[in-house]
Amino acid sequence: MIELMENAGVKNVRALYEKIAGELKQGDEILLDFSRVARLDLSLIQLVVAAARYARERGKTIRLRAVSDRIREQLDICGVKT
Amino acid sequence: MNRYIMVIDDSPTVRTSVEYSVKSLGFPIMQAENGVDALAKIKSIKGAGDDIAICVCDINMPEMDGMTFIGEFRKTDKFTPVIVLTTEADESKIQQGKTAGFSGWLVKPFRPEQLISVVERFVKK
Amino acid sequence: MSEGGIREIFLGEASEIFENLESDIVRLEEDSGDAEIVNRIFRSVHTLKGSSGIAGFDRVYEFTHKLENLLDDVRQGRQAVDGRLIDLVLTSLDWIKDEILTDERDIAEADRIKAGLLERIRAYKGDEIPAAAPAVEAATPGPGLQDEPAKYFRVRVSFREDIFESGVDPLMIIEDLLALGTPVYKKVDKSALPGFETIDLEKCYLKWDIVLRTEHGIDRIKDVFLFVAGDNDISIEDVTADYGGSEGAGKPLKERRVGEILVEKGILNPVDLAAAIDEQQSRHTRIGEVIVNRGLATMEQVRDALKDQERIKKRIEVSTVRVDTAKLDSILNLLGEIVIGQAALSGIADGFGEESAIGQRLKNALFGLDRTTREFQEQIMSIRMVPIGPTFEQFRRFVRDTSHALGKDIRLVIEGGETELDKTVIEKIGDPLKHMIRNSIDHGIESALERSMTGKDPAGKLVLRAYHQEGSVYIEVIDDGRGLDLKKIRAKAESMGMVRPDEDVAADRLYSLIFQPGFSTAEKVGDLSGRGVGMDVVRTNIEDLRGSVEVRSEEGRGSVMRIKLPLTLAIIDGMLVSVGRSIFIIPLLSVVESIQPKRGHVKTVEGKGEVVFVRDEYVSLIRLYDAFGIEPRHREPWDGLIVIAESGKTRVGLMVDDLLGQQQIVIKSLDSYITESRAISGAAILGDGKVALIIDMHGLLEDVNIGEWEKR
Repeated sequence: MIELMENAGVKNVRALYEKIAGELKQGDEILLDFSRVARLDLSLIQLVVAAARYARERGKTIRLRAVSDRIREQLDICGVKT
Repeated sequence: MNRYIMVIDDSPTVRTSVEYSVKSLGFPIMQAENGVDALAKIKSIKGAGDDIAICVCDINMPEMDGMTFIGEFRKTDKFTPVIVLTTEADESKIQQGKTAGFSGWLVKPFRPEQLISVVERFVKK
Repeated sequence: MSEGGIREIFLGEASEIFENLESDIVRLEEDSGDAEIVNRIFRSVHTLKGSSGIAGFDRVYEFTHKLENLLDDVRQGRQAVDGRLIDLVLTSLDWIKDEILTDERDIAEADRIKAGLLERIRAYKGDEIPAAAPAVEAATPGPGLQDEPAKYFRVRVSFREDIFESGVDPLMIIEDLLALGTPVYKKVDKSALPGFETIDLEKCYLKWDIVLRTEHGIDRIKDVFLFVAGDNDISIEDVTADYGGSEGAGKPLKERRVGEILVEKGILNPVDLAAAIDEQQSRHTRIGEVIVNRGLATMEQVRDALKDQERIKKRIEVSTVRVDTAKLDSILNLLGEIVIGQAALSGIADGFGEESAIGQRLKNALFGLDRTTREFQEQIMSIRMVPIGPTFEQFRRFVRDTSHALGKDIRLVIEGGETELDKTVIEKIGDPLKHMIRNSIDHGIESALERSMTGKDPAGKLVLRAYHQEGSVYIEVIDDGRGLDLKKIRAKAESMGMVRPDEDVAADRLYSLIFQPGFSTAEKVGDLSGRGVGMDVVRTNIEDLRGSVEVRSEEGRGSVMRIKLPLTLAIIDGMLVSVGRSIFIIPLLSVVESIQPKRGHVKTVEGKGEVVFVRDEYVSLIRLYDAFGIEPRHREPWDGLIVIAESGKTRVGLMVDDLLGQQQIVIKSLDSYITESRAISGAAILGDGKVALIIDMHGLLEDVNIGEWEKR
């Protein structure tokens, strides 16, 4: 499980990327925990989408945990169904 | 980790009024008198492991003006929003500021609620 | 935070500025060529201006603004420094000091001095451009102003890649935009997003195309993009005309007017009514009185109409039950949890095996529980159900206005208004319906003249009908107009390369083409519909509700556009299938049967791809592991199973590894799985905690290019 930091955003998106890439190498399922974030910025959503595509191509899954209504709406704005 | 609102203006009146206005947003606030002062304070904030949430910055200042400041600031920080306070409603000046790396602007004088709503746009949680 | 505090700080600051200014001015007098001193003076006055404005010294603000302009000219070398100028600046400074520091001032005297000073500044400046207003009037009317008519804006946004580097989050801007209204169409272009291994995380790749219904004007929309306009590609277009003006969707059921009721009953014709309304308005009297006086209806008829009106009013009152939707949704969520728990228990019960007595008892108990939860679910769903009547009713005015604008005479008939739909569906169906209705009025129904020449009733008829059938809701928009012009559609399809000139194409398929993007046979741009946003938007909107739309037509006789919608958006019956380690859910409504094909029954047909022979016909075969890029257990159809499923009129075979059974599926789940594939409509958590993806048949067929319309 990867927990997103409270102030997750474009400033630290690279660190999140490294974590996801690392877990994708090791396991088949990644759980992204959003319980500490109130909103996402576009860089995070783009990362999640790219990671989900990548995982799916390899028969792996990325699941999102504790997605608030606000974040669900943000994902929807970016054309991502949850 | 603390995230600061950095207020950069040579006028203590403007600085204080900005501080009063954005206090309600719940961020710690740091004042600076000009670009040089601001860069030094930002450096020490970041050195302590903290970060800048947003800068609210005047254009016309002694020592180092806003345009020079943003150029210097962006060398080490690409993504932090910087709002410029200006008395210019002039399109070309604003365009110039955007190219330099400003994220938004507010025309002086402004009402506290105008400032809050602009700052909130950029740091909303 | 008292304003007094700011004033005190300002007074301190101002005194300091005055000191600096005075010494600088004196030094300038000694050395009028020192550019640095000029700059400092300018900056001091500039600061004074900004601070005075913020501290609330408006008179000082306005005055220093003028003085600053003059000093700017000096700084730029457009004005020479001489004794006269220095004297003017010093006197101005005195005035400002008095204004700020003297408590009890003779305002009239101060104004007189100010006027004199301004006159001198103006003389220096020559033609003075009026100063900007001191405070920006930012007050924009909130969405609370219900009477503002709704407008529609199409906003296309393509940010520059490095927008993050100016501290701007593009998503924030899109969120701000959407906060101004309701999107009736939204498309996100993610084609530029690179793969996971090559993505530059600090760049912006997404593009948006949004049609927003809003009560705000275009300026407010532009404001959202204020900070990013210029160097980003943003287009804002008013498409209100395309959406049929401001009437219609989203407004509550209106009380009906007596005149309208009389027209509906066939007692009064609309032309007479219009004349009667004119007279009523000029005489400020009651409409019933005018109608009776003009001999258009009897007293009895008017009285009946008044009673009808009262009844409608009551019905509106009764049908308005206040339901806290958030509570309702949370109950539904909890129910979802119960269903998941139940499935887990079923799994445990199955684990006991056939002979186990405990297993049997557990199964029996679960069977009873299952019945209760189903009923529970139905009850909750019924709370979410509302009749479509009010939505239909609001189109009466729209049909009347639109047809009159086109010089057509059209009667609207409403059938099945009591048919109930999920409230979410009702909220979202208004816009597509309006589009279809306008399409019928605009392109379908002919002018009265044309109709009489072809022997038709000069008045056209438009029917809105809703009914339940086989677990779905159908809504039909029926007109008795000229019908779709197959030749025109065909010609357009050929010109767009959708159909080959020599190809034999069934009428049904040609009709369905009107829902394709960019497809409009409208001849004139000035038409009400057929510009920019077309029937493809209607289709997208309806498909977002997991529905479908089709059209049938008979030339010269009229058209029927039929929308099929699910009864509820929250729970479906599904067939669980496995592909590799993944589990998919096929909506049971789409499933026809499942078969295990013989090796010889699967083959590849030129132009159709892989097909499987089932009951005397060949249907296209979709290998789900291929479609979703999954490693399967079986690679050959004869080793696995094929589920025959249909979407609309198209039947296909879906190759899976195994069937896992049927189950009620709660779509809205607390955990989420994300996907952008059109072939997946949602996800559900199964009893054992596994995630299963729900297949959207329509989307799947589009993804693999099978169906009524095949891409080339």
